[in-house]
Amino acid sequence: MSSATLPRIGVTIGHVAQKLKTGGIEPSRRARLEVLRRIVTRCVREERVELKWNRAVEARPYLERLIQLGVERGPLDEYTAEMMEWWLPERDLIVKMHEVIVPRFAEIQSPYTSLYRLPPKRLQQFIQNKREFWKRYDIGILEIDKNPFPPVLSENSAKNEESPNLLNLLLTDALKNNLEK
Amino acid sequence: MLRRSLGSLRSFSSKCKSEPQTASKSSNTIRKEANLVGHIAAFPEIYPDFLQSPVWNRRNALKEELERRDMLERRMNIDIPEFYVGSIVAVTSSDSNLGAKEHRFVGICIRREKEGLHHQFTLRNTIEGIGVEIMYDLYNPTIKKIETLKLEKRLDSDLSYLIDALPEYSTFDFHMEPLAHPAGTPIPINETKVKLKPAPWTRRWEIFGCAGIEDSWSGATPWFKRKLQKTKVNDYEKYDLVAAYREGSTLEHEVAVQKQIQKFENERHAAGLTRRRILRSAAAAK
Repeated sequence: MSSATLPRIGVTIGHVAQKLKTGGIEPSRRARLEVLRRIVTRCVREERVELKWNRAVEARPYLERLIQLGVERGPLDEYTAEMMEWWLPERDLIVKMHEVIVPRFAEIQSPYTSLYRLPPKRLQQFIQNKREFWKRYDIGILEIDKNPFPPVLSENSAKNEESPNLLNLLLTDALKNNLEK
Repeated sequence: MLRRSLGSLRSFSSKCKSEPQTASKSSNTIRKEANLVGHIAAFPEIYPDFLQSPVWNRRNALKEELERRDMLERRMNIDIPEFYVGSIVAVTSSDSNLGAKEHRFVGICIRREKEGLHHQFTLRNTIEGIGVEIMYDLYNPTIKKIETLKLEKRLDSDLSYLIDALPEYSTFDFHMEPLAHPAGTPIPINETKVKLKPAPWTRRWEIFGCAGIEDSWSGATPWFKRKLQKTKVNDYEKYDLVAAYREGSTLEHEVAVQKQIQKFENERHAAGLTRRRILRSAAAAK
């Protein structure tokens, strides 16, 4: 049964692959995979990483599928072993994947990862003729669930009670008032 | 009522996948469902016509549903046996312009492509020294009979390279007796490695990484070796997990389709119209 079809992954995924800036590597499909491999490797090692938003969005399904392969098929499967070997070039990470990360998600349905958006960062690029050049980056946090770090969102914000959105505030208050009546 | 609306809001937020912390705590239900239905492990290979399009923006739930109903109706009228790429298949189709009014062709199935009602398969045989390939639409109503003479697989899921192989690899006897496959045993894999004719070929088979070709490189003359040097090596593409996921089938879809087929069969059997079975797997049979 090991080669049987896998279930869907529980993350949003575009219908085509997006291009990524590959900084230094000549842009190609190979370079894109190389960038994603770095992200996936880093994410498995550190469990929570801060990235450019578009890269985090692109890397998340790869990480998710890799964990799913481990959960559904186990380390003995040929395809899984091949994929783990390529996506996690450091040997200790393959061991970590099978012995630490996969057991967390046994018998649990996807998603196994989370993605959060941080406020955009403005960074100074360079100064030319006393003019400052700034650039804005969209930042995201990609993490593997059930990691040992404190949660990104507090208990209240997960329940939508700390939302800065005026509409959310009004609706929560209105519902509360109605319940008290 | 408002109490209920708040309750439903909370229950929604506990399942919503866009809220990362509260999502992902449900147990694996689809596996249980697949076991319950008796999901056929080789479903994508036996029923490639029931899969979804690999191009996501061509998927249309309504179109797929309507086509599936037509396909099931057709399968109640004609027995479509299980066959794979590499199996030897005989197709009898009616042709009003022939004296005999029907035409039987025997050959090796080299390709199965497209989904839904447009599903096609191609048979190849050598007749009087000339290679002949016939592409049949699986749901063409002029097809009278499809028989699997020998149920087996090859090393590849696409045998298009037989067009450039020596003719002995695609020569099959038209009067071949059908070979019964013992139920419950796995489908045998024929590990023949074909020898290609000297280049030029119709396509550059050496860069596709076909497992069923024996050493295509050493037989080539130096002139072709220079010309056909490896330029487009893209063997890293197999590591693109998500590309494979986008093209592949999902368990959810297969289970849903299998349920639909079972329901359709049961309805027809209960009505006493037919005893024909659509859902069959030689390897999973008991």
